[in-house]
Amino acid sequence: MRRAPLRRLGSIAAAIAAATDHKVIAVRFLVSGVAFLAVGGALAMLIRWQRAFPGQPVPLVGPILFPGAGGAVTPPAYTALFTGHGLVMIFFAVTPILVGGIGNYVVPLAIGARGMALPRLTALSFWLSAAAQGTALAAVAATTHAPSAGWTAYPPLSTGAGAPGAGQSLMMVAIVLAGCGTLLGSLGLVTTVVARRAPGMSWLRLPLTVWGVFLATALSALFAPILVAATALLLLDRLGGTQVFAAGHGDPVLYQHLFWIFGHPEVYILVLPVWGVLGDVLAFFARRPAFWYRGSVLAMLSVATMSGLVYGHHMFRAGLEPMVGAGFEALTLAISAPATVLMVNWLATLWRGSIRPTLPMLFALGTVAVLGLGGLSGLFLGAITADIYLHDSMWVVGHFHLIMATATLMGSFAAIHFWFPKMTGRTMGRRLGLAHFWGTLVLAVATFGGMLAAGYAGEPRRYYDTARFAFLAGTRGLERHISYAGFALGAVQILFFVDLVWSARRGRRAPDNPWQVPTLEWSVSSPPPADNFAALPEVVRGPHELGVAGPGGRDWLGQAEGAAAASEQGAASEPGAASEPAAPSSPPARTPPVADIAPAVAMTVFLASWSIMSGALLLAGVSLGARPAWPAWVDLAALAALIACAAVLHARPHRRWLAVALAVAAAVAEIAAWPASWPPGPGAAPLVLLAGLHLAQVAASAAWLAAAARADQPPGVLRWSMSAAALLWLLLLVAGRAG
Amino acid sequence: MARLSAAAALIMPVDASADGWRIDRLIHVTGLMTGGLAALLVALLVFAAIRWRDRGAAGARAPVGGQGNGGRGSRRAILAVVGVTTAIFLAVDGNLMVTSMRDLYGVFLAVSAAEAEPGAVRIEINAQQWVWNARHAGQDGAFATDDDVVSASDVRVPVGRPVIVQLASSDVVHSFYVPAFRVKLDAVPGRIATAWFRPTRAGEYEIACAQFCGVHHHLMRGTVTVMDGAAFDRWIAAGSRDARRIAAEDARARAEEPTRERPAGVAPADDPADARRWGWPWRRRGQQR
Repeated sequence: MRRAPLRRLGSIAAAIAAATDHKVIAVRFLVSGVAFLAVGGALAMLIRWQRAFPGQPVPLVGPILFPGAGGAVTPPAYTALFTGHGLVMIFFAVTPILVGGIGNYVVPLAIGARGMALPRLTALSFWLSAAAQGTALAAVAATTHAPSAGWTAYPPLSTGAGAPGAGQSLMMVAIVLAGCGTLLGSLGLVTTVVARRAPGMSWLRLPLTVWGVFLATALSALFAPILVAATALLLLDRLGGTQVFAAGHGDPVLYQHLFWIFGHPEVYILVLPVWGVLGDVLAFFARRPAFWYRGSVLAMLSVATMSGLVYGHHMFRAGLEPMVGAGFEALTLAISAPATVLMVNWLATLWRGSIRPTLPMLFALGTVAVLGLGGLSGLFLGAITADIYLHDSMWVVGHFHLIMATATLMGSFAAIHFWFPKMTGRTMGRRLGLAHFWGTLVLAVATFGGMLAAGYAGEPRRYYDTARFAFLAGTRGLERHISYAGFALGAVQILFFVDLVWSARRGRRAPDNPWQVPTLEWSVSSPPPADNFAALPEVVRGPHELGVAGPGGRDWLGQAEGAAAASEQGAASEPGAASEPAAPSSPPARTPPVADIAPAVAMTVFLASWSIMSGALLLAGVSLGARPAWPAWVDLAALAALIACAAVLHARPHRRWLAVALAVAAAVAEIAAWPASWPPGPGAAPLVLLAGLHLAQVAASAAWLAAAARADQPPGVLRWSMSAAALLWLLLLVAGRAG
Repeated sequence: MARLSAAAALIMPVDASADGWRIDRLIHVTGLMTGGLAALLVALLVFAAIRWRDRGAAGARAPVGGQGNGGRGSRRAILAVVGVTTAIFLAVDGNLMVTSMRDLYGVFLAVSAAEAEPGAVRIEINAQQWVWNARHAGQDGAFATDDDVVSASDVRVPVGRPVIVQLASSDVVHSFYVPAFRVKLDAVPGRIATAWFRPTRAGEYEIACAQFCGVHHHLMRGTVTVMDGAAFDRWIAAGSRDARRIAAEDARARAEEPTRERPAGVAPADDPADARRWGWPWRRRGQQR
């Protein structure tokens, strides 16, 4: 009798852990993301208190949080505050909300799929994200040695010499976990869009939201591992006694390169989903198709492609070669062109429309305005000479808060208001929403526009207090006013939290398609059934068939409306799907992709990502002058085993145990090469890390091979994994000897 | 004074350099253009939201533009979009690129030309948590010698003559920021960065740190005092004399002590005897380490 409740708890826990419905996972991401939004916002309120009233005790919470200083924020505490604020907001709030939450929820529904292509991958990504969030909380709570090098964590300040203690190291572990979680989640989303689109859902019929999320997660899959690599190297410097980023031996600027190669695509990872949502929402509530859909897709693609090439503008003052700097400037300015195209397309979408001031629409319009203001403020930073004055000033803080905070969050609010009825079957409150919208728009522009002004006056960022400087005397009043606006902005967000919680339980019930829009997720019930669609829809038109003569006096046509297959299950899920719908104006539907390309797609993206990360680590090691002196025979033995294993998998896939034996032999040879092969010198550390990851890849492949259920045919993707492993090992040897 | 301070929140710091105006002008011209664009954007959004608000005439309306895959937009309209984008891009981004490259290569990077001028002053600055250590070559004109004039956070320069700064750091990344001369340069440990400027007004101006460097980042203040040429030369002469005297006393004191190992690198040690020994031979153009 006593064991039964425990077993029940155990089975509940197991069910929670194993849930693979993308909608359930997405809601978990949303809830955890919104919770951390509150944490990050609280940290921001404390920062703004210190800037407004330097050295004054914080009311109410001061004595609890800062007992040693009579309730006031001290310089070390201030450092921990802004470090924690940046990390929490970027990794643990906005990314989970936009990518984990909105992305995971909407994409399978919008493309007409039953679920994610690799559901356990998505589930695992949530648990990794949750582990990262927990570790981050522990790091911030390590009050004696909280993370204190800014979210960017530049060495040498972030090494053991500059920021000693467990807090900083724990936060880096949290970042590694978050990066891994993001990688897996992104692989899942990318694979789903490629492999699970419904029949007839061609690429150019995808809702712009799906394009935005797809491009964001493609970037995330490709570049998140570089963050993991950079952070892992920093951890090695802190805990492993290496000197990759130490002055004199290693190179602190190398970290900046690695970090920003990830860091700049990261800002597009956060903003691309918003761009996608805007494209759809503006069209839906102007009751017109989006203007120049193809142009918007091309623009988002261009930005995504160029995103990794502009990162050097974060390092303009750090001593880049002039030609390199000029190249980064040209590319940074160039990337504003596709963004301008998007902006003009959004305006043109509104032109001669029939604009419905719903809450998603209001948030979308506000987001467009803020993207304009924030984007324009970034142009100044893209020119090297203007950046001489504005670099690391409050102008930068104002710029990225307008985009990264205001635009992404207002876009998130637009998305949440829009899809809330689908998720819960209820609508959010209109009056609360209006107050939240206007308050957020006006106060955010006031707060972060004020920061632009402070930066124009020359105020540097990350200052505990500007009292020591006469040239900043005039900004003290400005900082106080920025804080007043910031406090009010924070208070207004409470309306959102209240609205969310209240409406989820007691909001007005919504019909299946309250917004009257054509995309596929609105053709099913609210909330959708567990497998999304009773029968897979057949798509016959694009996502913005609006302002047209629809059946029953409607002004829209659903994406799968009127298709022969759809009409059979039609009446239940297609409101007003009359027997005489408008003829589909599209080419014949493509046959759907075969279901099992999903593992191949995932493996391809993973290997591309792996290659980029490996390339970065190889270059890092070579740039630091790595010259390993390895015992030749074990290297070559490992290489031979890897090549043989890949060959067996390609040519004789049924000889599974031979392949396993060869993989194990390669792993053993790699381990045997280990002790003597790494000479002193900072360049060895990146190569050691890479070799360690390589060993993990080979070992994991061997284990997967051994465990493969079907003895005659191992998973085809493993061929490519082993081939890549062999190639990488060869490159490692060559780089080591040639470097 | 209070009114001046309040106004100071909205204006740039005084410009006491010969070339700072280039940066200021680029910022202001771009500000006008982007400000105009931002105002236009908001005006268009408000206009559209009001002019074309939904008046409830729901139901059948003539289809607008293309349907299906391509989305809406006649070829003419799309060309208009491309045209508008290109015009904005060429005007704003083009001006930014051309002006900044011209100023960068023509002025801010032209360190060799500045150094070649007679009377050019060379200064080595070693940033350290949380002090700007400054070093003048002294009367012998060579760095890392006994007559170098060394100070903490107190840089002296003559008015009207080019000042070339070589910048290093002994611990973490700092950034040498003198708002009055529109100078900002990262001090990365293990590297030597170079910048130059020409002060045009006598006075005392502040140095701040512009790269987060630890808990006293906000206290890392220094001053640059711009003096007339004769006063500057007198100051150097007096400083060199003092430096030589102190060096001689040090040498006597060392002779009486057992020999100690000098720490390597450019870090000023805590030991006062070594606090003055952090200089490096002046780097030639292009040497970064």
